[in-house]
Amino acid sequence: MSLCVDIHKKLGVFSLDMQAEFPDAPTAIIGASGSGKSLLLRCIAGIAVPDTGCIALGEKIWYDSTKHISVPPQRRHAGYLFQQYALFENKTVAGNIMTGMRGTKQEKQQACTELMQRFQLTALAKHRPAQLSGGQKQRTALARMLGAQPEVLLLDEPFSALDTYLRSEVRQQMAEVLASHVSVSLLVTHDFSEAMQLCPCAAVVSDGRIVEQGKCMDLWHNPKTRACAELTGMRNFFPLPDDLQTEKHGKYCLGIRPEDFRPAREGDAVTFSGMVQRILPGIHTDQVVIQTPQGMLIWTIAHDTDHLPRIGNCIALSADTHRFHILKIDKT
Amino acid sequence: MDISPLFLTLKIALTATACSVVLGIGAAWLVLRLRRGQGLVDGILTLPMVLPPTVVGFGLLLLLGKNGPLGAVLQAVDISVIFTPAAGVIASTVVAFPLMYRTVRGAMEQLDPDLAAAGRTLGMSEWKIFVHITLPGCTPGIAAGTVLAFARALGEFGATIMIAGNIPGKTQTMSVAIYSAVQAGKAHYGEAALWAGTICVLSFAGMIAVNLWNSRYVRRKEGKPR
Repeated sequence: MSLCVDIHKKLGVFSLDMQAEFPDAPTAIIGASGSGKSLLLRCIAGIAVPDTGCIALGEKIWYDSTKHISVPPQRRHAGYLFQQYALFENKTVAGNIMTGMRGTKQEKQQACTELMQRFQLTALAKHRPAQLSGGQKQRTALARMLGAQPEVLLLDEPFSALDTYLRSEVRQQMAEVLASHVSVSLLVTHDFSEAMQLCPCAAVVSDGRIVEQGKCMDLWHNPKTRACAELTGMRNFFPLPDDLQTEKHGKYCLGIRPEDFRPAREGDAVTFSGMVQRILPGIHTDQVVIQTPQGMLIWTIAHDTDHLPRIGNCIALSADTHRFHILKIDKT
Repeated sequence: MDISPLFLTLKIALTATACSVVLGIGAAWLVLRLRRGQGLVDGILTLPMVLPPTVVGFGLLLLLGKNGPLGAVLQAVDISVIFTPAAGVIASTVVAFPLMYRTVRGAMEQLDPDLAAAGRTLGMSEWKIFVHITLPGCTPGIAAGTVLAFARALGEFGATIMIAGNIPGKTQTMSVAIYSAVQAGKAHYGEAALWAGTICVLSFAGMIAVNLWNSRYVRRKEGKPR
């Protein structure tokens, strides 16, 4: 069963305009902040309503503006994990988890006990959200979402409110949840490596539109748009040089990863030369900032390289041709 | 000395407060769900707070009097509210209601909208969300509004004297009794002072009680021992 989305919504100057089909596998929705990825999730859950379009899970139509159908969120059975958790402050951990459950009181308690065990919350059953740490709140919110037995999982930046250490801990749990969920699950994030760890597929969102969709690996190795390339950590973009053999002109640019640069050799078609302005030290690599006529350039260089550059050095860089990425500029 | 104004005032003020609480919460919830005309409805509901009480009283007199639209309907079923304690309750409610409405509305607006959204995705009905999420989330605001409304109802004078009158033992509340005592001359100033003091004490006690309750509520919510 797949989730089909084709929605349009205007919010002031921002407009959301998305068409996509999400398969059963976990899919990451990757985009910069303000790109509309959370709004997409809200429209799917039914807690925001698009202006026009349709949303359908398999045969079930959730929203169709032409037929005036808008199924309320209560009947969509879409589990939503909120960025700030949205736990009910006046209820205990157990009370929160049981909120979305159906069945007799005994069944609910049974299911709640199991979920609390699974998410290491048993000792905290009677605590209130105000007494919990960030990780505990996150786990409570996850358990509460799963308690309602949702068909679709919608996770809105689940790690954004956690510090680095907790992040990796919760990530394990999230990977397990995503792996055991059989239907559509969407994970909103702005971190490409996070997406790669948790989801085989991804959709890249930029400025209210889905600009690329595919396997995470393919998107990483072969980004087609600048928006996607930026999210994968590409930092260097240049106007397309004339001597690069291609018919593509105008709204395209050349992108090179900071780690793909190497000193220029004879016969390189495209070289960038300039003066080293700054060196930002790192643990395994340094970032060298070079001012070139084509603009600022960032070169990531491993510590074990011979002849590390120094500030003030004039150097010429290039990259292997298969490291050149020709990218569509989707932003105006 | 006749102490009936004390009990009458308490009865009227408590009834009016109860009415304001129910109406205020309901109105706040409804107004926030309005798609259009929120500003207009809000203005109308807040008007009794900013108008002179005599204007409110005059309006109520026209509405509820024998020839008024509502008064005529009530007359038909043989009910007359003008110059009865019921009129006192109506006057106090109308004047106290905006305080409740505004405070609760503020509290509801402060509430994280994701909480209600979470309730919806978890399958809770709108009514359940209102009772189990919105109301508990606004409890401090409701408490504050209740105290303000109670204090306002306790001291209501202008609208009350216009539609409930000043009938000793029947509609004479404390604030009206103060006015009567002062009118009766210097010899009755002691009586006026007594009622004035009583109102001060009652209002102050109400504030303190709610503050105490509020700090206990916050501690309980944070799970700390009392």
